[in-house]
Amino acid sequence: MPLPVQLVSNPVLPVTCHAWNADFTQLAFSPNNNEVHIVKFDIKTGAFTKLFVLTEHTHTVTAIDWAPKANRIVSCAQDRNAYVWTYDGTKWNPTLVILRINRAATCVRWSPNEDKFATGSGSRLISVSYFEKENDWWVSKHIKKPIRSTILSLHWHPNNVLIAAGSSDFKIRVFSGWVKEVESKKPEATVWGTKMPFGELMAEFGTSELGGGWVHGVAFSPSGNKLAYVAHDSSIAVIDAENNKAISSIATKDLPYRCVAWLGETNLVAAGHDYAPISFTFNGSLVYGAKIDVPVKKEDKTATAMAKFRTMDTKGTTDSTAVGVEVDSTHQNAISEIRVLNGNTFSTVGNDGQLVIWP
Amino acid sequence: MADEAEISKSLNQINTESSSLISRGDFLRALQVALNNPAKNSKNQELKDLAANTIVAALSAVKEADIQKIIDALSQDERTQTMKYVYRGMGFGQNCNLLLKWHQALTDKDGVGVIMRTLVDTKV
Repeated sequence: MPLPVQLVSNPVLPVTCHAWNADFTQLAFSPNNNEVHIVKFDIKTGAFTKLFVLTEHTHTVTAIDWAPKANRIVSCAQDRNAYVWTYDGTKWNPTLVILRINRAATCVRWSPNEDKFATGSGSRLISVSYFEKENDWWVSKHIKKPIRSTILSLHWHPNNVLIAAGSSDFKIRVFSGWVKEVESKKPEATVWGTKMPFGELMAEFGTSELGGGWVHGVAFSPSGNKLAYVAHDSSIAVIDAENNKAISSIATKDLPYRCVAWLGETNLVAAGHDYAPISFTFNGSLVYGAKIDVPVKKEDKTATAMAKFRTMDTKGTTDSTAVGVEVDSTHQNAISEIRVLNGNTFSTVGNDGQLVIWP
Repeated sequence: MADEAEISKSLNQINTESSSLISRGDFLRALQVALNNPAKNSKNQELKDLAANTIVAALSAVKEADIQKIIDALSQDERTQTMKYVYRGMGFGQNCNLLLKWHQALTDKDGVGVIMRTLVDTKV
């Protein structure tokens, strides 16, 4: 049974991004404005208490990521900045990161070893930022070629070097984010290639010969050998690097998905504009699973004769579905982000201000 | 520009083949031949309009009762392409009644996904 939690109410605002801490007791999220909220969260009951509201950003926060081991949060916003937040025991302190971008930042992710993070932006480049101890600040390097439009989604490969990026130029690319100041040794060869100097384009894929769409979400599988993506042409696909980078894609009947995540090496879940997560499996080829949702039956509100006449007057029908504004899925609006907690449990946040935990 | 000339020549061939298939009553083959055109690689709007006219002619020639049979015989990629040209045809403004029947049948088969694929296509 999914556990829905209304994170934002009075007024109900969309939750655009969220991130969990190491033991899933705290949650950071943004209610579609320039604030980052941190709450203490009980994933069994869904009860939460507000801890902090971080207001360093001046424009809408677009993405948040929480590094579990180092306990640092990175947030990026439309004000072309990113902040790294560190906890000193009583409050969160921001450190500005010089991204050197001249458009909004769209997505941000810590690398698996949490020594650097990548930020996608509307400046048609990816900023890979690392901490320079001599000057005590965060410095960024840019990956520019051959990106031709806004980066919409990013995901790191488990080897801490490769970055998958989905862009609004309809392409999915795998870049090397190897930073010599931070890495202790050269990376080992993977199925994606052997030489990985910084900024090297390891692979590039288009969404479809028949057109294609903006790539909203990318995700490496836990081993890093498979790359899944979802695009605005209502497609979902998996690129199998072990199988000669073969693309197995499904053109679905649903509205486009906004995000995708792997639950293990063979199971995926995608969610988006259809308000409910869908499960997929990949065993050599991608197979559509099922919609993961329990329809919530809304009570019939037009029981009284007075109410029936009133709806007949105003709506022209006594059908109760024409009266309510509520949809019978758990999420009442599009889902914007998925985060995997552990095993098969994942959480989704959406434009209805809810966070739902799917066990 | 040399490509444009090749595309133009190939479109003319497809046009004549498709017209003859329509006059013989083989609407499925007429549609499939017309859909398999290279106009999407061209930057010339006239060539794209030429291709669209051929396909819409094939779509308009089909009787309403036969639409479902033809859709069942097309592959998913062909259905996606057909939907794109249904929208193009509605833009021309003729036979909209029949084109709406095509739209309904295609949506029943492929859901809103096929409409999304039509909306994101910049090359048709």
